[in-house]
Amino acid sequence: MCPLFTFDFYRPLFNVTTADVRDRLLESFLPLRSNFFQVMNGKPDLYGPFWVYTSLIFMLAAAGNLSRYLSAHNAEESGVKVHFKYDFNFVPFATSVVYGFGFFFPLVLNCLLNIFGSKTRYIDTLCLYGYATAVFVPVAVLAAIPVSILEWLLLMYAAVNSSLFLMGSLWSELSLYVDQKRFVVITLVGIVQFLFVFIFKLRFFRLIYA
Amino acid sequence: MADLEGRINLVGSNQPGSHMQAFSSSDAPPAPNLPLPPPGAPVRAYENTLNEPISETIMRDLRMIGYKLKYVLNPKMREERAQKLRDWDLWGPLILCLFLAMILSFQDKTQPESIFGTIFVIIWAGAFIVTMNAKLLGGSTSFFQSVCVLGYCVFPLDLAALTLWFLPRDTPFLIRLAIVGLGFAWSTMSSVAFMGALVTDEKKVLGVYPVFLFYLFLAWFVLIV
Repeated sequence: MCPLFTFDFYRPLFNVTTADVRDRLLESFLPLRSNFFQVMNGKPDLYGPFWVYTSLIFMLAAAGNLSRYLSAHNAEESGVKVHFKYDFNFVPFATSVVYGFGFFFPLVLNCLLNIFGSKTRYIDTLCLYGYATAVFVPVAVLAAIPVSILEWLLLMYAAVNSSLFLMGSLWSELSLYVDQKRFVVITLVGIVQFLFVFIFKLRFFRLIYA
Repeated sequence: MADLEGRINLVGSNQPGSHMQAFSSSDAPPAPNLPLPPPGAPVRAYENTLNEPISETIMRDLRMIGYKLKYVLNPKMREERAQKLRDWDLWGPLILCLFLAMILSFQDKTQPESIFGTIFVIIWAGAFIVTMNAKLLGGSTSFFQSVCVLGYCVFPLDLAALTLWFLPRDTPFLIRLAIVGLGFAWSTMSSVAFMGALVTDEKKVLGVYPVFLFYLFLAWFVLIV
């Protein structure tokens, strides 16, 4: 029987306390202070990535709709007639993007790391990437404010913060194994994070009434 | 089904308001996996429930549901009566879930089926995920018991949705927000009392946060439809 479907397979992945999760989140919000692989200390958890992704889905759907509502409200006040309708499709779209990227990209990243000689497992990379995404959650909430330039700035900040966090840890990890090829991984990470930002801004925070 | 009836019966005899049947000796063996009642305590014999009128069966189940709803509504009951919740049932959560899904889908003219389906999926998938989370964190609970509590605690949001339905169109947004906020806070606090007790103290926030997110998600739907 495939171990992936048993309960006991996942139990050790939730063997963290509130203090652990809080510390890991703090590391993610303040990047470049230490190597996250060492912070994990051999105890990667699935709780962080899963609930960060789930919270992000909800925040994107809620804040995205709120941003459209507020901008429609502003447009009405300036005399333009608009008909606002909540877009329920934000939820399935957010679910596919966040869960899809969130679980698939660490797989790619881990394969690259293993090719370069590192001994990380998928769960380590997933944990790293999950906590890196955490900064997007409060940013998504704030991006509900329907000022376009503010939204861009906030999302860029999130991209930079998460990229730095990922790059910092990957750099330290990879420096043990390869020299020049590090840049391949680092650049890929940066591209993906900024891709995220573009998808979020253009799908969830598009101010079509402005 | 008969097994379930027997199980509900044995507990039903301890509840306030339900009338006791005279103890009758029966040569049917007691239902398996149940604790034996103390000697001398009046207990419905296993077989009797098959012969009772249907109204009796339905009333007993309704009483159980009503009792659990009172648990959700009344904070003082939570401490001492928590053990009564151990006999879970899924009828209550199903009724409350259907009620919420129907109210919300009535209000939206353009895509009622999609809302109905979404609410249904969110409630059951959400309850499943929150329960799995608690169990993975090391919580000791029966799976269905936790789903049962989470389902029953949707009741305040049902009330909020009902209230919003009857308010006039142009009620200020803040009023609607306040009503839904109240329902959300009530639901969450009822659930947290149960879910928080399942995990150890050092993981309490980890176990409670998903509950918060679950009701927040539902409250958001109630607010925007």
